[in-house]
Amino acid sequence: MTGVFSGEPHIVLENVGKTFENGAAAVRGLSLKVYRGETLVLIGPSGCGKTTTLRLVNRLVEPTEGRILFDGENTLDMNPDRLRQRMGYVIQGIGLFPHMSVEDNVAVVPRLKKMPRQAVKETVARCLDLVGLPIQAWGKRWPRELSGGQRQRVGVARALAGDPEVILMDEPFGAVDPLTREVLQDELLALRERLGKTIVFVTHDIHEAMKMGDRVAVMKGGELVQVGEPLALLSRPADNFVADFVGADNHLAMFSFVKVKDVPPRTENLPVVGERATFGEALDLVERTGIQYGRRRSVYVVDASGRVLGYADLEGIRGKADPVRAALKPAPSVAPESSVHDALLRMVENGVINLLVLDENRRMKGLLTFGDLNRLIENQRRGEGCTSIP
Amino acid sequence: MSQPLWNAIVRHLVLVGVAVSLAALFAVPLGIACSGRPRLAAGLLYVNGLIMTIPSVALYGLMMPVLALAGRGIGAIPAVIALFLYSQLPMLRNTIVGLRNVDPAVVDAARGMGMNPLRLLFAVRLPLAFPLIMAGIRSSAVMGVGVAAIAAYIGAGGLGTYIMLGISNSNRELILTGAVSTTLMALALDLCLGAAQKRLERRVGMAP
Repeated sequence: MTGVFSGEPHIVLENVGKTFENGAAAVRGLSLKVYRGETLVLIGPSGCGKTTTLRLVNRLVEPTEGRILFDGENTLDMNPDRLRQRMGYVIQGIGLFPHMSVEDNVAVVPRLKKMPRQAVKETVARCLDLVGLPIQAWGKRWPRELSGGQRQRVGVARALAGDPEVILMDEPFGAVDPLTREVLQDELLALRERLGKTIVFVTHDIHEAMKMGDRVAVMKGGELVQVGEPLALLSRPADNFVADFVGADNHLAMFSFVKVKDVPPRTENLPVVGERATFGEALDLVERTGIQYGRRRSVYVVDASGRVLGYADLEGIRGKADPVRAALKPAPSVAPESSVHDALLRMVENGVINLLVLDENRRMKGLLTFGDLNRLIENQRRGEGCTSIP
Repeated sequence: MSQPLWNAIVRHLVLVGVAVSLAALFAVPLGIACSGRPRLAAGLLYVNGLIMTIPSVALYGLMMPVLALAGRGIGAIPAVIALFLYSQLPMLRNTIVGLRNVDPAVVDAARGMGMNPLRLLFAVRLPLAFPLIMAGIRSSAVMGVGVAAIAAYIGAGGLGTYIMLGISNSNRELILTGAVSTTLMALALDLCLGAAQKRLERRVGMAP
């Protein structure tokens, strides 16, 4: 999903302003487009107007200036209840109805939309399944019987149940512990890949913003300061405020949202041999690749169909004519979709400086070297961002 | 149990039942109507608080000349009116507080999901405020049993008749019969309403 969204805008805010009755301006001159299928994160310090902006979209707050187009139609011309039924809504306090069972909570919007009884049942079962709470086991439970993380999952299921075109999320994971939050974030990312919904996501946690957002909009004092892809904000912050806020010099933060495939890993001149190769052949190859190996040189061994069997340590060689298969060990690897942060962890855990990148069929997609990570940081420092992202 | 005592108990229950039911039908909608208008709510609660400070005997006395114009200065009518007025405060206050105390996140979520105000009221706010509203009705009913006993002085009948006669004739048994029956009735009524409340709450999932 990463990349520039050239698609049509789904929600358009045109010069939108909101001044409350007491004269306080919560949002000023805000122009912003949310493209179909993207996740746009609104972030800023408290009081910056990010929540108000979200509530302007579903008209829980009405704009005093400008206009908001949803699917090309001015939201002020639409029935607000209908509009909201087309947008899922998840808030920090979750707001599950304590007097309704889990399944009744999820059924609210389908019933508001007057879906037939059987269809409501199927929708509820499907949505609870999506968030990992099968209806047979969880449907009849009460919200008070659930943990914080489970409640949040029900909140997401409830937002999905109306088959909304857009999902609005206001600090949805703000009230759960950090571990659960990570899990919920990963689940939402996976769901997003599957469902392809447009998401507007409010948070004050820059880490979360960078992880979840295709694009991130930074707000301050009711105004939009900068909107762009996470790496663009890091490498080309519009001003000192954005630079401080995103932590432009914080490489570890960057590691948690750059994916391995975006580094990108090296794909040529790899130390790979067939299963019949000998140590002698392997040593020759290793010298030619010019890769740094740290303390122990090694080669990866693939079978005839290209599947990786493991790696062979070349330091404990017995004879140059022996087959490398004799020294085969499972190779530490990482998926192309994993974060660089995870890859780095795996390197440290296994005491290696190169990491195999494997797809789900155990085919080699490349080699992530420590040098690649160094280059990423260097590019970052020079303001070039990630090489594969324009 | 003697027939006159039984008649008095029934009459007492009817007085309280009619007055509290009418009061609930008036106070709960009124509470709903002004729950979103804090100034109006504060004003109404203040007026009702004032009414509560009037001793019941004095209230009967005040109403007598007014109602006498319609030929209803004594009897059941002024008793029901007084009970109605005394019942307002607990019910009105609990309805307002109950609706106001509904978790704002829940209301926000409901609105954000596209519930219109009427649906929000009946599907979310009222069920969640129900325990407090019911508690108001219960305290009104218990208090009403006591206030109704004094209505015997204006000829409304009921268990107060025993107490009144007992006092004027210095008859301890009569006083005890009236007082104990009144107390038992108040306790029984509270228990019954409490059980009904639990049952209803369980039905909407508010109680385990």
